[in-house]
Amino acid sequence: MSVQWEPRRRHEGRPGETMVPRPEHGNASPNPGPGRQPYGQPITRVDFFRRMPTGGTAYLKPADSTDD
Amino acid sequence: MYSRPAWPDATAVHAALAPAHAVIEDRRTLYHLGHELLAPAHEPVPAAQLDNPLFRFRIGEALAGRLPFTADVADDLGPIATELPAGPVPIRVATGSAANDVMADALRVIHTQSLSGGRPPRLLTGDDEALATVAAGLRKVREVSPALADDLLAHVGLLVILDPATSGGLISASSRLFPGLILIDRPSSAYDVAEAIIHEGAHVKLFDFAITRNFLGIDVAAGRAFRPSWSSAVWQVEQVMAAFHAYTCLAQFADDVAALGELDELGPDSLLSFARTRATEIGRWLLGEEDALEIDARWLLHTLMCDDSGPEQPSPVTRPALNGHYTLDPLVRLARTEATGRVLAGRPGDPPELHWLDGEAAELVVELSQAPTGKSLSEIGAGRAAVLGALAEATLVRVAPREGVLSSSDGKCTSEGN
Repeated sequence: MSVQWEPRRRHEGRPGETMVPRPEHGNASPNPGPGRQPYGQPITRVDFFRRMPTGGTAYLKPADSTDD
Repeated sequence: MYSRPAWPDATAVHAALAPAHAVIEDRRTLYHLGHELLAPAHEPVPAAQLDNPLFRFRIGEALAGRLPFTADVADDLGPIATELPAGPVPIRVATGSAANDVMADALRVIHTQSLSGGRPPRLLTGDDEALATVAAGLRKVREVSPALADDLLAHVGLLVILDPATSGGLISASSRLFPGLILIDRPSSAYDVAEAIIHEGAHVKLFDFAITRNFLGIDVAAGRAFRPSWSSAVWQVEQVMAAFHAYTCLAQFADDVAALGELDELGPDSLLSFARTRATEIGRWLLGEEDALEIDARWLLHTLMCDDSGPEQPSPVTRPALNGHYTLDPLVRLARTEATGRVLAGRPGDPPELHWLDGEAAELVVELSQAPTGKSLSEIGAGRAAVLGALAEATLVRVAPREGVLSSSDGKCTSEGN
């Protein structure tokens, strides 16, 4: 569960970094970048440990595995 | 909207949510406070232990309420690990002769999860050639995609190499129960290692987002399933999000390999040639089910899919804030992270309860923690009524009611009961 209230931008030291085109190899065309920045939430309960599937991810031979 | 020629740099997208160093500081804060709540009589654990996947298993399972926390377990990785250079932070590889003993329980749990028969896999130790290939793979992944590699490697706590005689056809794997742990079969080439680092590194990074940001609303995700066109697998929403993220990172790595002209160096089991197609297929499905994700995961999905249409900003939630006297729940402990200014609020219990607080919520609980007798609503200020109401709803703060109810949406006082 996360508690929602009036949204606001996150703490300026964390998010809100400007998207930049990829300067490295590949992706020769310009990067459009995201149109929005994350909104963030003021209160987020840590529930993932309880909610997560308890399995893992495994890449097996052959490729038709039960995971990815 | 899915066929745009250029895709966002996953590293920059990750950083827009939170730079890797900030996520890791938040994560360490979580495990530190988790340990404090679960074992209050014990000394704080050393910093290195906070990144140990075996320690993280014990904390995570206790926080989930699945297992009681067991302190004083001899699972220090130092004696069994070799540190290989991998950019800003070295990577630990389990190579020591005692590695199989230290990792035995973890491998048994992972083997049980995989529902495969036979005996659990064993680690390959003392194999200098395999270790050299891993070292070459770490150099390769940083040569090909330096920013992405460092972004993902920062979340890797331990790499283990499996004895191919016992690995049961596994190429690479990670486990949510042992966050930060990556398992690979004995590698044949540097690219085997490099691709596994991107693939499984994406999973372990996403896990750290999931425990430090607003990510998964499984309560509404229950019962939804995705069946990829290339497999008979059936994935839950969280698995779909993890696969989408991994294939997106692999697709970016594939672009970089292609740009170097090294596609012919990939092994026969490489996923790179399918990565973008699969990421797009998965992402399209997720966009149709995005109400199962919370706001940060929705943002990550839309941004990586180059979909400018969302997610929408959540509507303000109106809560009444009683015109009373507010105090922090005396059982609540607070930990603040330097990198972000966020506060982690923890409350003992079985299991303990943890809440991340941002911005005004963080500031307000710190203020209340420094006011033993609490503060009135007028001292707190009507402008913060909304966040106060949210903190009260999460029961992190308590209120002794007085007259009147302050609406958190407009700051105007009304009579109680209206």
